Amino acid sequence: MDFGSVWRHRLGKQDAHGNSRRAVYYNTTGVMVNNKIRQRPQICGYARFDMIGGFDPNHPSRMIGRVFECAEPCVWMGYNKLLFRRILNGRECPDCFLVAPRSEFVGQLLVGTEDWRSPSTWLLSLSETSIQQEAMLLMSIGDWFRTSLGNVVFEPSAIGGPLLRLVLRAGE
Amino acid sequence: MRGSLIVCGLLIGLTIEHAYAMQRATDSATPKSRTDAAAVRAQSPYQHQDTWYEFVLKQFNPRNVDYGKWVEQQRRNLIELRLKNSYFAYSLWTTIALVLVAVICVKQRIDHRRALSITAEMMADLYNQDAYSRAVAQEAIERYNKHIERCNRAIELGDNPVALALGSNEMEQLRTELMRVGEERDIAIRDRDLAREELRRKSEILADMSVRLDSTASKSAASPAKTTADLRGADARLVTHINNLQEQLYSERSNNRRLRGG
Repeated sequence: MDFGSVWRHRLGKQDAHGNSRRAVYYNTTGVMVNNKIRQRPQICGYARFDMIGGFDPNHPSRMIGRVFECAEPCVWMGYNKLLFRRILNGRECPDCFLVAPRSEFVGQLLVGTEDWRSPSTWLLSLSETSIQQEAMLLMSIGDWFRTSLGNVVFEPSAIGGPLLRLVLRAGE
Repeated sequence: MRGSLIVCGLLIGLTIEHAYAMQRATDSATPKSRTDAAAVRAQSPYQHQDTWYEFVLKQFNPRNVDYGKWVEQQRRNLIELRLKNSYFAYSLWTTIALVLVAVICVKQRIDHRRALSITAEMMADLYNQDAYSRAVAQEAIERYNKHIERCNRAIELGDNPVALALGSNEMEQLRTELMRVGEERDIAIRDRDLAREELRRKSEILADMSVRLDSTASKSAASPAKTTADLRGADARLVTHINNLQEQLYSERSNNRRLRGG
């Protein structure tokens, strides 16, 4: 549903026109420090997108709402890793959604406290400064996490629309 | 106002009277024409019958009065007697001048009242600013007086040995407080060291599990698909466990930072 703030890439071999079809893009969380995006990782992890799988790095916003075939989440060299293999063109129903909540919108995430998230939620990456947080979470419909403002539930929008929303349920 | 109303009433009355006089004159002239028409009709060998629309029109105007002619005559009278009269022009221009003077007077009055209200607002603002400045000055003076009072008491304590004894008592209390705070600091440092040790142990466990996971992943890459399917569930559990450990590690780091006062 959303991407983290930090993008990195690794270019593969280029063809005669200088295009690289085997380029790989890594997305992770970041926070704003002195008007620059810095990673400041507290829990390290990244999502990997292969250009050969249909990922368009020039229009990342068009990738929001698309369904990808993914590998199983794993831990690689101490980093949480989620591989997005290829875009599925049919109208498949996704099992999980990649969500990147920021503290300025949902409040400070209470990471590490007891029952701060629903059991099926997977924390892929977390960046933090003293005042900002950004996390990448893998969530299903109905999953939730707790912030300083209340419980944030991942559910369909009340006003309709194809995309799902993070909805704050204060006081629950 | 009242005088102008009386004049208007007189004018209307005169006009109505004039109209009636004209009507009477017309009525007196009408019978002659009517007798002429009867004579013509008598001379005619055939009886002239009115058409239906003449009959209907007679219902509305039985005396056969020529209203167009009457209106035209009234208009001519008005032009001759009123508009071409030099007194009328004089009255008209005098009236216009008086109306203009009245409008100017009203405008002057409104402007004056507006200027008065703006002045009143400015005076109110100035008064409020003055009151606020006085309050701030009073507060500053009070703070200064309190400070000077404290300074004076400190000087008196230095001069007076009895007061110095009282001061030593307070110092004793402060010393006790300082010792208590020092003990609390020592306890906090011990807690911090314990947390740091626990953090180190958890980091080692996490690193060990990462290594195991890597070896498992490499084995699963080498082994057949059946083995991969068997291990998938175990992998998921392991990843979840690692995720939980990462969160705990983050939580411990946060606690550690808080204990260090960061």
